[in-house]
Amino acid sequence: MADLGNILLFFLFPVSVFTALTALAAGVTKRRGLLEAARRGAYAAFAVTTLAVLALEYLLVTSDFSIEYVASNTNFALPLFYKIVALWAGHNGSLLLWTWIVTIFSAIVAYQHRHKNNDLMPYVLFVMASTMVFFSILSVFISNPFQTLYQEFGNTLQEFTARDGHGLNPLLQHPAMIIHPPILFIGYVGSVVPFAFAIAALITGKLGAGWIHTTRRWALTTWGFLAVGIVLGGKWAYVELGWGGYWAWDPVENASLLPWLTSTAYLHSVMIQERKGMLKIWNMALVIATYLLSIFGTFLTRSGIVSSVHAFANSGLGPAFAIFLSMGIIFSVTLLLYRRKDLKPDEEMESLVSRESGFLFNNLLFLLATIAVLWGTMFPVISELFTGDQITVGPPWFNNIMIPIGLALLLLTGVGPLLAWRHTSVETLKRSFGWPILGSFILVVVLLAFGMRDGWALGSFAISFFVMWTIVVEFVKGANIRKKNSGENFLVAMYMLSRKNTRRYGGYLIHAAMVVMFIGFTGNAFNSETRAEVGEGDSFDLGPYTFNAIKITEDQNENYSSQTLELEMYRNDRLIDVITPEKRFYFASEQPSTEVDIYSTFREDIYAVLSGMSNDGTKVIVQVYRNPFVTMVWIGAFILGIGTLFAMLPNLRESKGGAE
Amino acid sequence: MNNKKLKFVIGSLVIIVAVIVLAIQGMKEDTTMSYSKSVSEVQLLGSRAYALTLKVNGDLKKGSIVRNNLDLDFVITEGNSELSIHYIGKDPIPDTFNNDMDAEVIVSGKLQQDGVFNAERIQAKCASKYEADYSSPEV
Amino acid sequence: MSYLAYLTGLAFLVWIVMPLFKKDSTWVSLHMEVEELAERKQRVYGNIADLEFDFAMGRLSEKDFKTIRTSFLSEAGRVMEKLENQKSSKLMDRIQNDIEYLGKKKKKKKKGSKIQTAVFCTECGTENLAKAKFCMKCGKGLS
Repeated sequence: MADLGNILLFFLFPVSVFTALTALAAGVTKRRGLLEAARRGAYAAFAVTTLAVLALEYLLVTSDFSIEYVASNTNFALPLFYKIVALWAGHNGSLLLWTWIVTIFSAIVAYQHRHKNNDLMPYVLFVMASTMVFFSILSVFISNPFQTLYQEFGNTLQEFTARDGHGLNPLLQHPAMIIHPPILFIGYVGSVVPFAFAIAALITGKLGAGWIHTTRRWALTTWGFLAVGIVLGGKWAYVELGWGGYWAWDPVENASLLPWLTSTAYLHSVMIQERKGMLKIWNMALVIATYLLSIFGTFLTRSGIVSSVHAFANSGLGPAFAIFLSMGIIFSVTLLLYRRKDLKPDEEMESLVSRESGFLFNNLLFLLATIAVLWGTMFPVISELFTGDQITVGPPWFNNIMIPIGLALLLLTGVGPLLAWRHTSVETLKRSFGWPILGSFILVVVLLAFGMRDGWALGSFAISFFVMWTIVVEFVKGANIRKKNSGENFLVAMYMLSRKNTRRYGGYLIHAAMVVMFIGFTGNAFNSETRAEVGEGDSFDLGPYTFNAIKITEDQNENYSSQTLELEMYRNDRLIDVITPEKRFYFASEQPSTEVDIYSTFREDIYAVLSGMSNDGTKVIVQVYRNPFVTMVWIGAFILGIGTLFAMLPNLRESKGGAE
Repeated sequence: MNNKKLKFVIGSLVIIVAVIVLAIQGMKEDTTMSYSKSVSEVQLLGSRAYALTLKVNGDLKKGSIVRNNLDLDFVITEGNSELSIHYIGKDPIPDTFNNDMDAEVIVSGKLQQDGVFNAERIQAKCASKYEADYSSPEV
Repeated sequence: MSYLAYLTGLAFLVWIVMPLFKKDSTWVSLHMEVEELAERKQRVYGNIADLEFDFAMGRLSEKDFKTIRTSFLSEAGRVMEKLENQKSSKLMDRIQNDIEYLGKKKKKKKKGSKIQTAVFCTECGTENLAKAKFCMKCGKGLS
């Protein structure tokens, strides 16, 4: 099976080279036969990689420990489910997953466009196949998941089968781990599709909005997956790493945020191109940046140039990625420069107070955020280059910049959609913003009266309130107008209204999701925590809560041994819950792991960690965090997913006819 | 440049300058920035070390961990150089941290005048657990 | 067992390479100017729809609404006129080419069965099924 997998994977290389070359030839000669061959090449690449993935799955499930990847990431005692998902637990397997997703997307694109876009498709397939070529080189020659185990016997190297594997990293043995990497990968890899179309547009000179329309759904899907993937990563860190938070501006977290920032900017700026024919170069640049940053993120995770909790150990892929990345940059920048004259704007900006200007400032802020995060992430490398000292900038530095930028963007979320295109009169502004602004003021006064003194938190709550208000008004007002014209009842009118322009109202839903998430982020300003050494019968306080340690138990199964503390949680002398933080020791990997217990409500999370034993072994050290509003972050991400799906629905058309 | 364009340029410049100011203002040697050094490099820094936030990496000296209630002291080494660490942080100590382990440790915090390093954060890396030898092969 | 695998692989390989040896035709690109005009038309329509929505939601004054709307309408008129002129001349050779290719392909495949010629959108050049009433890409009515 390993040999078969190896052969299959090996075939990916010639197949993708063939696809790239025939696609390129098809573009030049415009021959249908060549294009058809390239298309079939894309299907073949997909078939071959799928079979290779199945072969690896077979090896994982049957625990074939003659294969290094299987031996390093699974063991006999591992539940079947984790054996299956071990496909992406390690570096080599996850690279194969990456490659597989690229081939899936190429096949889908090839199939979707088998009867259309003949001019663009050759170059689209060329770009996608080139990406495949790169990844096939990596997974065949550098990080082959089918590599067998070797051991020295005297002077010769001999294959051997390990008695048992090392097991799955305990940190990864969690349900969120199963969906987090593939979702993030789909987000990363998905950016190749808009990129391929943008490059194709640049090569063929068909620089209109055609490529944008064609890839709209791809861009949106990618964006949604990336967003949900990032939040799931945060969720994973929150429940698994046991330090009480979900985001630490860690390099790998930042790497996933970077393409998300640029693609968010892109989703907004395309609207200017659609309505005004402006920002053509800028949109191209954003799509290109998103793709390159996705590759960069993968590179950062695997190259070991910055250290991180999420990163794979140094895998020796650094140089390969650096070469691919610089080739990508040179190629795209050259094309952009070559076409810069054809990308002139059709119209000009008219007024500072207009929808387009809102989008423009939104883009500026996203750009600055991207640069800031990139700068902070790469600062250890940059500083070592110039000063010789490797200097890391910590989370406070990121917060210092990103909180103001984030709040400014949130404010734009409320203001932008209420501005008309081209020109908005001051009078209408007063009408739209008067009440929401007054409402937020009252909210601030109330919060001050309740003793809230944190400036950023006050600002964030006020802006959140303002934005939420404007969004609700948008829905209600629109529905009322429709109701008046059509005679439908209010709810039907609201449904029809949003179904007739899913992009607009899906967008509003996503904005609302961002507000909810920002409320969650703001909760961080009010976090509190305590640490105590307790034996059975001891108690301690945190805020209004009292905790009683009732019992310390020890247990063991075939996968791990564990130590559990039962902690009664009282508020105002009323028993609320018994929480049980746990510490495990996994036998196969010889690794301890902390299982936190979280008591979660809308208002706050009580997060308990069993952090260790006291010296004499009778007491345990327990750490309890009180984190307000964390749940809002997860709920927000959920709404964001729904909003993205909604925005992808086709618009409902009415028989009466209309503009579209 | 016409009047409208000027407005946009001014607006954008204000934002850009504000962000740059935030970026520079955030770069504080004693709080937000930390210098990555190894144990021996710390000793080379001399008196400059006291002013900086440092991220020091070294190997955990086996058997050096002493726990006293919530306090934690240990020693990290690199070659012949040693550095005593006193943990003052609030976060739970990493799972990989105990006396029997070959662990590479990164501590962040500040060096005190008495030569003890007050660590606020400890990160421990297990010595390449997953690449270790596969003992007792079945050929 | 392994022979079967080799054979499948080989057949697959042949299937991929086959189109390379077929005597085939080339496609003709749609003239750029037509595409540009179609895009401009779409943009104007989108703008008018947005403008009407913004006005209904009370985001701009009636005076602004009227002036902007008038300018959009005249732009729409100009674009339509140009499109009419372009369409007939530039598109004919492309359509001719595509129909010939499709006719050949279909005849080879199903002899005797009813020939389903595709209809090409006069707007964007997308192939549509013969029975289609509207273009699947741009929504333009097909005759």
